Amino acid sequence: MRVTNGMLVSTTLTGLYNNMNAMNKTYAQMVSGKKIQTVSDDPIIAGRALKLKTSVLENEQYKSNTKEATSWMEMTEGALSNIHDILQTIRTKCVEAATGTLEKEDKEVIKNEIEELWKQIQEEGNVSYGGRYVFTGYKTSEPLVLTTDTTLKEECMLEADLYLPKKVTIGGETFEKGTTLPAGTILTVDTVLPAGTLNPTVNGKITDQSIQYEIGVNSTISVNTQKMDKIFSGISQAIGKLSSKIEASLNDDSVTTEDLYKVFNEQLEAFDDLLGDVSKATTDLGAKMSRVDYVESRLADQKTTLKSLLSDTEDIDIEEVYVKFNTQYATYQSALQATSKIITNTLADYL
Amino acid sequence: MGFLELNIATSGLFAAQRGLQVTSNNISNANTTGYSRQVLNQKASSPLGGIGVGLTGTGVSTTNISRVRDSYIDQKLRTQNPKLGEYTVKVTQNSIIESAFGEPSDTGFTKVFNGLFKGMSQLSTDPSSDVYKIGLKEEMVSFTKYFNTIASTLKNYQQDLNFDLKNTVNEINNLATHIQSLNKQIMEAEIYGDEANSLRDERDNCIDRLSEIIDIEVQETEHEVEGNTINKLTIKAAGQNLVDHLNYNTLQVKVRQAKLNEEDAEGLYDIEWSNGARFSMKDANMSGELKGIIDMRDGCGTGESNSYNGIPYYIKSLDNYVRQFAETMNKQYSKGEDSSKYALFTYTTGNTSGKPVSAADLDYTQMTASNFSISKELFEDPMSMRTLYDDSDASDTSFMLDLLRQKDNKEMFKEGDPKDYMIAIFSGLGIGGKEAEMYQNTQKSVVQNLTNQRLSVSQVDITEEFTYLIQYQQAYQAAAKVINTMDGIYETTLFKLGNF
Repeated sequence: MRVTNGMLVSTTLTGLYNNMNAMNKTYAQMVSGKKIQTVSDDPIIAGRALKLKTSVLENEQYKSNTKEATSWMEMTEGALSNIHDILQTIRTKCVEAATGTLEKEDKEVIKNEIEELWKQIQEEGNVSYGGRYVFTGYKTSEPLVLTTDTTLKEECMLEADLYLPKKVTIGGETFEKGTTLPAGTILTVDTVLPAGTLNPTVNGKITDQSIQYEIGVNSTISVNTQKMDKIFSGISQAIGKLSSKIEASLNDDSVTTEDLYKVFNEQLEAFDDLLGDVSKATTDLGAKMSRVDYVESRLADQKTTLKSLLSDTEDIDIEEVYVKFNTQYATYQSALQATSKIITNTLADYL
Repeated sequence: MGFLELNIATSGLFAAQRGLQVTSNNISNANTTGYSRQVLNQKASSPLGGIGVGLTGTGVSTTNISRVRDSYIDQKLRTQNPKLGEYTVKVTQNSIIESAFGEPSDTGFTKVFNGLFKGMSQLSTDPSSDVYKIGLKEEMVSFTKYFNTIASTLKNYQQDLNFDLKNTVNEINNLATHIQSLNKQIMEAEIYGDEANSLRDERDNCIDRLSEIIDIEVQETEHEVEGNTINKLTIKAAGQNLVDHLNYNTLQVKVRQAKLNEEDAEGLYDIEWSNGARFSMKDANMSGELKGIIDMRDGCGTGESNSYNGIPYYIKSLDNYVRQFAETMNKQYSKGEDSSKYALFTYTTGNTSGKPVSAADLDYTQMTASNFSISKELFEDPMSMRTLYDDSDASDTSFMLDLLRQKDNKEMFKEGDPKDYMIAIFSGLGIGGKEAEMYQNTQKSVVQNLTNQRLSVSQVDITEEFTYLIQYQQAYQAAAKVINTMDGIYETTLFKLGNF
């Protein structure tokens, strides 16, 4: 075949373009650290990388959700542990009172102590996380126990028994302190409920309201501790019975020390049951917290796996690419050298 | 009878001189595109008889200067050129579309999609939080803007292609006109049997370029007219004579009355012949740059009109995506409530800066990737976002979790969940680009091979021309030497002998 200078030049140029093109691709890989720069470089890798990236970001969100859940539960755990301690203290007081001498001053001291401790329990029951009450099911904007005297803005039907720590007038009817309003009672508008009453909009109305956090694909965990309204209803009644009996004995001599002992002994059992309930709630919470811990560490493992998969999918093997680049560079160099020899001379140089 | 030797030598001198001219012309045009090297054809002149010693030669006569060209290769090249042109356009355009999608990157779809569901997940941990509601609204805006941007970019590209189409049609017309006028010049130059070398080179150049734009059939036929042979050249394109010897036809563009695809930009052109004949833009056998442009501009992936995955296909895929996605999400969002009151996503009307329509006015057939938007309700008051099944249950996460679950809803699209659908689009785009590139490369090597064959035949080679140069120079010198010798002989015989 007849070969002309022009053909040499065009072959040379094509060759050099190919060399440079290959080097350009390898260079782009080295600079970006990624195997592909556009989807068309390798659609399969691109699709897989996209899925893995989504999984990594999902994993991060799940992790942040487990952190939220942990914080919420830690808050709950602290409150439960305090409630348990306080109940324990009250119980001890009851034991002391049920066996010791009870002069007038002693009774007053005991009554004040118990009421003070009850206030502390209320505070723990109204503990909040990020502005949300933790023990009130979905109704996180409502406190478990009323902290101030509250006027009802709308009619409210009781779902569970409500113990009144003070005298309350409902629709003209007066209920004395210590009355327990049965479930189904309707509290009319403008009824004033005193501080320390269980919140009627919560009490008995938060059954099965478990707040679910997403901590994995189609996997959720309930962060809130339930049935606290029942426990608090029990506490408020037990305390109410104690304090009203003591108060009665202070004002009325017909109430004997034996009567008081009897009440203390009775409530001792109630407190034992309540302590058992709180312990159970604490145990449940502990189990959930350890599940969250487990999920969190599994998420961390998963993240490592996903990241390494993603890296395997889209990241270059630096050594390999570097060797490839060097090979290409050597080829390019030799091509340039050959080109410089082949296209410079014609016959004219020797005439 | 006398001085015959001088005449013979002179003819050699002239022939050598003519040869030097041809060589010098070849060298001068060594780098001229499409130039075919020319050779001087010469033969021995008719011999003289009757001098008693047989036939005596009378020197050399130059017959013609012809170009070295293989028309068979030309023809083959012209059947391969159109496919190369078509796929060159497709490779370029596919990579432009790819850049509009901006994948793979950390800023493209992955970011906005995960952002959207991250916002929901965050809100699910505290469904009454205003901060999280605003956060989710912003994520939703980014999500919708992502589609708006791609759709409008793609529409701009479609309009650019429309402009390219018009230019390409103009180029075809210019080439046709030019070829027709060259036909005339060639006919006039060749009527007495000479070959119009450089004019033919120029015409071949034009035909080569034309064959890159559109597939053509070229035919050159000989005709006897008044005792002279004239060559007639016809070029057929898309079933019509584009050039017929001294006549030519032109194409023209006309703004379409009805859109081919509903996603199309405004003012797209149709092509038609100026003489009124129909130009079939859907012709599956057509190829060339024009075909590449038409496929990219009109290809909607399915149907009779154009089954290539061009810009309308990608716009349509995005439109389908936002419609289906918005409908499923809105349905979940308004669950248990009046759907005319609640919507996450709607669309803007008029231009994209317009206000979005409300849930009540929502008509999913009106929704496109270009006008996709958050709903009027959320646009005006992000706090009005519904996050609970029952407003009194401030921390019931089930509503948000149900919404969040749509992320992995495999039923949402036939391609799978909302992420899979988009990945399918990206992969399709990548595969389309890769395929075009593969065709282009294959075609490139075919064309290159043929081009090399043509160069091998026709291209000037400097070294070769130098060889000829020396050859002709030597011939010239030799002829001059003969004249010089004859001169010496005549000097001796005429002057010296008669003058002694």
